[in-house]
Amino acid sequence: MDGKRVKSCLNLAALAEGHEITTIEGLAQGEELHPLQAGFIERDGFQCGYCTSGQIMSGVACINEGHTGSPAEIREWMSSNLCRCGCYDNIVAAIQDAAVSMKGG
Amino acid sequence: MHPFILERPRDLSAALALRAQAGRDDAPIEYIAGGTDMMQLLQEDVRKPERLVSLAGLLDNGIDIGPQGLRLGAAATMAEVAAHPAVAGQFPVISEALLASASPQVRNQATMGGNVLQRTRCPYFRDVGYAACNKRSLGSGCAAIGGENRWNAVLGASDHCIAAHPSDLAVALVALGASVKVRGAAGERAVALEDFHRLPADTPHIETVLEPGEVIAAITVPAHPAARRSHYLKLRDRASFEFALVSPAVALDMDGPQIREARVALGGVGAKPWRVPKVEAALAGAGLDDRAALRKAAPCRRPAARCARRRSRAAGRMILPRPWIASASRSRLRWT
Repeated sequence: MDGKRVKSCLNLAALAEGHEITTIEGLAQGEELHPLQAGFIERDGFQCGYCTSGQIMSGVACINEGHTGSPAEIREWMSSNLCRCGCYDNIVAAIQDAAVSMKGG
Repeated sequence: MHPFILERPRDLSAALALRAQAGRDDAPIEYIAGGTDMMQLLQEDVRKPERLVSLAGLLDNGIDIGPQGLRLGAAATMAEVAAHPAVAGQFPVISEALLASASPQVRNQATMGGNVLQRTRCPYFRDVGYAACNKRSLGSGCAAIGGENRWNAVLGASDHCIAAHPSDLAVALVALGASVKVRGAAGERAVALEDFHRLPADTPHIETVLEPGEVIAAITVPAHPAARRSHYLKLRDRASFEFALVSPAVALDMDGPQIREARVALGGVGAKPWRVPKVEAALAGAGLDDRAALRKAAPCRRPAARCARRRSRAAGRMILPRPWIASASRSRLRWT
């Protein structure tokens, strides 16, 4: 919301009136996936997919906030996004890849 | 979720007037600001207000530092305050406590005022499937006493309620002697944060000294030489995104290797953010590596034993000063 990651379950839609909302559907540029979406496919960042929208939205914010200095830093700043399939290693790798390619791009 | 009417008043005085019509705590008209705690309470049917009065855009969200100290507008978010360079530099315990709290998503939304006012995590308060909770319904009893109470208070509890206060921020603020600026229809007043939360005694449903309608407008932290050398340690069951088992907030004014003055508060263990003046007094004059003095500076032995029994041995040790003061050379906390 307004460029910051928040939990949809802790927001009243009525109070979001007038704010800019970006969801997973708004990340890709047409047919071209966002670097982190591409990274999740490349690195097998998901199995069942249940948590993936949240992981990617949170991961994009994590990169934009500059918290990708080390795997430990990524884990700390992604710690409230839980993955019951246990894809954490691959999610961290996807975020590291995307952070590098977004810097370069 | 119980249906409610969402009010969006034009200005703060309209909001104060709306809320003042209702009673003190758990009233049929309630405020919502950041909403991160209120939304959980609504979803779990712990709170069923008829009207929610939104404070969005009505409260100050400034962060100001001057020679007098720090002023945090009530609507400043946890993320904004934690990331503020002057807060991190001059009041590190505040920044550390915030970064050890909740998650980035919650911190982007949760406010200073709401953090101090957040409700206990006692599982029996949060689960309306249990009828007995004096906080939710005075006179119904306390299911936590004799229940699963590993996380409940070991300091300040009563026969009616053993809920622990969950805020990390408030512990840091109490250690630094912060005050709360309270605004009501009648004007503004200041309350020391240490006196802001009430102990449960036989009225656990009344948690603060706020009068009906009053809001927290700002939090002020006085300038003090100890503020710059201050840290927050948080012991928890997992390394992140978890409430505290024990969390000391410590600020030291140093005279070389000697402690001139200590400010200490404990989180996770008290019915409210718990300042420990006896520990502070015993630490004054002690050296950082003076093991004998630090052993003596441990008047919290009984709560420590209770904590060790109920939570873990590490939690019991964490109440005592040695882990966070002694052996400065080996400690990851820098005091000098």
